[in-house]
Amino acid sequence: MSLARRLLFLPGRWLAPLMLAVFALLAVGVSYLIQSSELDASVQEQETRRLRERLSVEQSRLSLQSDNARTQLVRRLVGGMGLYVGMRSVYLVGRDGAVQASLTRSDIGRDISLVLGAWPDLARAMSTREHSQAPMGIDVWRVDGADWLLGSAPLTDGRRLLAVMDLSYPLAQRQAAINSQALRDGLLLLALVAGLAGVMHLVWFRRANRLMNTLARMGEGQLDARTGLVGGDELARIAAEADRMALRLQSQQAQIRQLADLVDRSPVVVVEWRNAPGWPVTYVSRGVSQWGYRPQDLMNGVIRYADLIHADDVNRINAEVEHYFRHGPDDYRQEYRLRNANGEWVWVEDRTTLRRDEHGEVVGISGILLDVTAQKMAELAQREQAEMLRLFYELPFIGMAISAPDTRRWLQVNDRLCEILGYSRDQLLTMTWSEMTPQPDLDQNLLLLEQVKAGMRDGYQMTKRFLRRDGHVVYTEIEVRAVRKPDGTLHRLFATVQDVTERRLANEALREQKDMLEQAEVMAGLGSWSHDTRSQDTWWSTQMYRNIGRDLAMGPPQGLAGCLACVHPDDRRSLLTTMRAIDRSGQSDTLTLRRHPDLGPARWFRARLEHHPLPGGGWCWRGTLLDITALQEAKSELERSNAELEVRVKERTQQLSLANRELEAFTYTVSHDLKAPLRGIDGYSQLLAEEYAPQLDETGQAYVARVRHGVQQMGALIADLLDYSRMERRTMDLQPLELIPLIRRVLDENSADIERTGASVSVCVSPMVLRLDREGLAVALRNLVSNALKFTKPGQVPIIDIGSTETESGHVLWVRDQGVGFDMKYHDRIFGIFQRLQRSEDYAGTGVGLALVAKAVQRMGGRVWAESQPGQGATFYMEFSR
Amino acid sequence: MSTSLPPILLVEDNPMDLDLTLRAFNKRRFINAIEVARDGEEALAYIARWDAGEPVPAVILLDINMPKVNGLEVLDRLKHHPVYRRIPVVVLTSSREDRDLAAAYDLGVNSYIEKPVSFNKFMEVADQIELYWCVTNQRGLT
Repeated sequence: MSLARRLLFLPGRWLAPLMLAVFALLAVGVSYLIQSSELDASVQEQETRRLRERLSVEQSRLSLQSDNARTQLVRRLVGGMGLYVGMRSVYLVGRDGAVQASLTRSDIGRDISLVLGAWPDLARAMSTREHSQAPMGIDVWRVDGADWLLGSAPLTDGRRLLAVMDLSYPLAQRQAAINSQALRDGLLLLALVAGLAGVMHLVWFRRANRLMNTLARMGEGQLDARTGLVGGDELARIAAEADRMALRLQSQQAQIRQLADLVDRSPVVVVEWRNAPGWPVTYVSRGVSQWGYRPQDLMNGVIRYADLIHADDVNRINAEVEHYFRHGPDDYRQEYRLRNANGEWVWVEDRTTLRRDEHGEVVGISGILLDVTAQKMAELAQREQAEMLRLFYELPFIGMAISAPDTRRWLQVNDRLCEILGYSRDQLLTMTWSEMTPQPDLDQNLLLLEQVKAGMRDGYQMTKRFLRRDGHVVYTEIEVRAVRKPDGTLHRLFATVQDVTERRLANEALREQKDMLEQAEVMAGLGSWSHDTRSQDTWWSTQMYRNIGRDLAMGPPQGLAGCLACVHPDDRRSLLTTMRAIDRSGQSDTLTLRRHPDLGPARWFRARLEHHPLPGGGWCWRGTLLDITALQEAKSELERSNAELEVRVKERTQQLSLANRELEAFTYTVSHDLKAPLRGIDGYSQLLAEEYAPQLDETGQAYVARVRHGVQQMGALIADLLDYSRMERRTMDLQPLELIPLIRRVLDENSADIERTGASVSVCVSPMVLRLDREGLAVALRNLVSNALKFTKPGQVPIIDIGSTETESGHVLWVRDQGVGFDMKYHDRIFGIFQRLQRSEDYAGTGVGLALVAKAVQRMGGRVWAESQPGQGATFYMEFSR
Repeated sequence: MSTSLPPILLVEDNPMDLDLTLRAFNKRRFINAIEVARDGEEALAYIARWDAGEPVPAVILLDINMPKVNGLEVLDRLKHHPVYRRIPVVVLTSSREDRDLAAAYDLGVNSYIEKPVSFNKFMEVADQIELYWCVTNQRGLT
């Protein structure tokens, strides 16, 4: 920076005095220069004038002294001129050019030209002057090139007065005067400038400085700073304006602060976000502390706002915000949940304003958050309550309705009411309740309604009937409440309707039951009673009166003593003993007693007594009294006949065991004595056939064969019969039995027949262990298998399946064949003994086999049956319970 | 050779059965001698004869239903005899009563065979008895 610029930018308080000083010195300098330049001329002019004046004076003086007589005087006069300052030489030159008087004595008399010859300049000036000018007047001129003035004044007589005056002295004198003047002026001006600077500093710069400092403080935010300048100058006015500005700013700031304070104290939380990665929070009002956060934590990024939003809301909010970013509007509301510092969730309503730049890009978001948890909760609670009310209204056990009092039309009904009345909701809403109320209930109901309308009551309750849609009558209990308008007139009727048909039916049933019970009491002759020892209250059932023979109108007897008086004196002791025993043990007991003989003919009772403690102390005795007079009479009769019966039973038992023994002996005999001759017949007939074949012709041999066949038939019959009888008599030995090995054994026993017939037998039995009699089951299976092998269709190979199934009731074992089968109408017959459905020449057999199966299964506690159709094979089932 | 084989003792009261039994054995042409006791008493009398040195039978075929001393009593006596209880006893009877069966086995009978009605079957039975008790079966020390 150049010096000039540096100077220019000097503070005014320096620049102004400096400039003033410079200007003052400059002025002094100029003035000095001007004076100096005019010095020579002015001195010449002044001295010229003075010289002329002197010469003029001297001219007149000297002219008077024109005669030579007064030479001395002239000389003095001329000499007196030497007293003048600067007068160098004075010559009085005579006409002849000789010097008549001079300051210098030596020159007197000398030619002037000679005298002046000592100063060539002077001489030259003289001569030029004399030649150019008329010597009439006083003439003064400057000698060129010297500081001399030459004056010439003509005198009378041709004389001339010449005066040479030296200018050096006045010149020097004037120079000195100018110099001192300039110095004085300079100093004075400097002093003035200094004074002025002082004054300016005092008056202007100090104030300016103060103004500046104050403005600086204001700039720094100290709006309470004031300049404090007074006066009418510019500074004071600027200061006043600054003060005014500061005051206004201060009040505005106070207002802002108040607003901020208001914001901070309000439940509202103001948050501002800047559009930068992560959306940093730039401002949070102090209200955020209501959620336990510090504003600076949010602003410093210690806590990320986005992290506080409920995970369920984040996506929705982001989607909405994106939408608003793109399509506006810039002011919108959102509701979401925030986690507070305690980890609880609060609902906030976020009123958001988007800030956009000139290109429409969002630069920031301002949000005003309001904690609406309470409202939200209240809203939820209200919704819940409404839902509960709705649910309550729709509860399936009570009908509810709202109706208009004038039209009696249903305005609102719930499902239960529809159900009770049998109409759909839509139908009900087009109907009135009066049209479905039968008489006389309707009149009664309308009367109550009129009373409500008249304001005599606020509601009513009644039991009434409704006609259902299906024509049935439904009994209900209704409760009606009036809802009135502010002016007291009836607005709506709220009604609950309860279907009491069932209760009514139940009550009727109860009454009927009570009647029946009473009838039963009468029929049974069973009276019941109770007695409260505390209140001494006694209650007797109706039958009690009949039993004892007491008039019902008399009421029960007084106290226990009264009751005891009804008992036969001989039985009182046992009654009291029993009661004492009950008192001790607390258990009920029975005894037989009679009524008092005075009350009528002897009557026997079976009394049952018990007692219960009463809540407040004391006892409640309860009991029944059963009339057993007939029983008692019958008992003695029975005892008699029992004795007879016993004798008879003994006799019969003896007879029976005898018969049993005989039967056993019979079967034993059959087994032995009947079989022995048979064996003989068979043996000998065979011997006959073998050893006497030559003696017998063909017919004889055929006879022998028939004999033998008959014998075998009979042997088989006897054997089967014995088996059957044995099965009937033998004791069953039930024990765990593995089924499959048993079936194997039975099949092995029949293997000869199976091979002979070429039968195919398949066994599909799940391994099981049954608790059965081994022999019994073997007999049953054996007979079933041999049956299946036997009853095949002519020319067919028997196919037998043995299988098992599990049923709910037990195990079922079955044997199926593809044989001739039978008609199901003979189902029951086939299990009877000696029952045959086939001719014996077609299928040999004794007719005992299935009977034996049935007997064996029955003895083992099982069940046997068959399914078949003629020609379709048969299946025989045996079922044993688990 | 025939003398060295132990005999079979047949206890049978019914003459027809006895005859048929003997015939059945004969038919099978067995070589053991067959001794016969006609009732229980006779059967028990054999004990003394065995003591006297007569050959002890390979097997005793015993009927149950006999007059005087019945088969079960004979069995009881035999099976309680310190020496002769080792003789195998086969009950050969027409009874199939559980009572008889149980009693016989309770007394220690070695086998219980019901007499078949058919003579052919009877012969098979005789065959099997001889084969089993006289040939296959190893005798106890008597």
